Amino acid sequence: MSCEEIRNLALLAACGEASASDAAGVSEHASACPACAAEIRALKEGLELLRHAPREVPSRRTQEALGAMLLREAPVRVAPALRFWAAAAVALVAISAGLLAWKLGAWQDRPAPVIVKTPIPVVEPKPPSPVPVKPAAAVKALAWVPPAAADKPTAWSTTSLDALDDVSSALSHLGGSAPVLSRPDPKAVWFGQAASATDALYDGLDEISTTTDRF
Amino acid sequence: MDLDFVRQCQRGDPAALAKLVDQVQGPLMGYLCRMMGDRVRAEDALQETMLRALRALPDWKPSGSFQGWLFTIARNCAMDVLRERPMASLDGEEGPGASVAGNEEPAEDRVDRGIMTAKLQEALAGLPKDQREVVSLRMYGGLSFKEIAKVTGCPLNTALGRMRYALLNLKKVLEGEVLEERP
Repeated sequence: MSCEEIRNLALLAACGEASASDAAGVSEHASACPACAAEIRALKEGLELLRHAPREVPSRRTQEALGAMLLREAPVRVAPALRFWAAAAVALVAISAGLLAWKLGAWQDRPAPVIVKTPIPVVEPKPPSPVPVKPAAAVKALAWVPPAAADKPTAWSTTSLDALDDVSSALSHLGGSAPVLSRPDPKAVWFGQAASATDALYDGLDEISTTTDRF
Repeated sequence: MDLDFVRQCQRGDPAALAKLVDQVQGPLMGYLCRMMGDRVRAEDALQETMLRALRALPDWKPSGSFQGWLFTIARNCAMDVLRERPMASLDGEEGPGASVAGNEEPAEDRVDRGIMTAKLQEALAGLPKDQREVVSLRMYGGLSFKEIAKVTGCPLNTALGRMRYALLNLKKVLEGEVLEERP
């Protein structure tokens, strides 16, 4: 090993960065090389001088600027796991919002049932009829107006269903070719059933009128 | 610097960041003063260093030392500031040490530094730039010689040689003899 290399190693050893074997090699060389021994002494004295290094402190103005910078530029780092869950939550919210918008859109796109009001016929119940007809219920059913489109869709109301039953029952007692009015599924979505049920009601009323004319 | 502490800083912990700035501003300022020769430019470079460091902090990975990373940023900032506002000399021809210890510093503080410190400051200012840089990184940053070699982009033996000649020059500068390291 050359003197130059030994002196570099000596510097590392003096700074505590050399291995024990390298430090031993430096000592061994220095004991036999006065020039290297002299430089190693000088290096150690130089390192000692560095203890008196002038201490520098930024001015108050710079320190204030650094403080303001710290508030402005502080890093915000989201942990990878948290980042995944945050992305999942955002995706879930987006999907939910999309579904809701689609549902509302579908609801609003459906045409509201058009009710053509027919004059209510005066139904005179046949006296010997074993089952009394309930014209009031039938009238009530006919007077039923579907809810506004903005309202939340609901199932058939009990009153409307009862009225339908009454009309159906009256028709069966009047005889003839009265159609059987099927009771709509109370849990069915309002729109799908409303139009057909309304049609059935009016068909029933037509039948009532026809049958009554026969008497 | 403790890795857990740096992690805290990376997460944006305000207390840790404040402590970090408090701990590094002095050493960075010392290094920049030695490298740039005057306080005004050194303080500009310090602010730029901290700005870049804070922005890049979340991406720092512990593959190297944190101090080495920080002083590399400081070195680049110093070069950028000097490129924008070049000084007359970096090699001590104009005695940059005098302007570093210039008028902004209160006189009583300068007295308190002691004679040895004042002489050392003058001796440091008289060193060739490469030697001054290695000494400053060691003295203020506490970097190992491997880290110094990495920051300055030179082989380890070159960094060691510069340091050796710098130390010898510090002893001899008063005699007016400045040594250059062998290539």
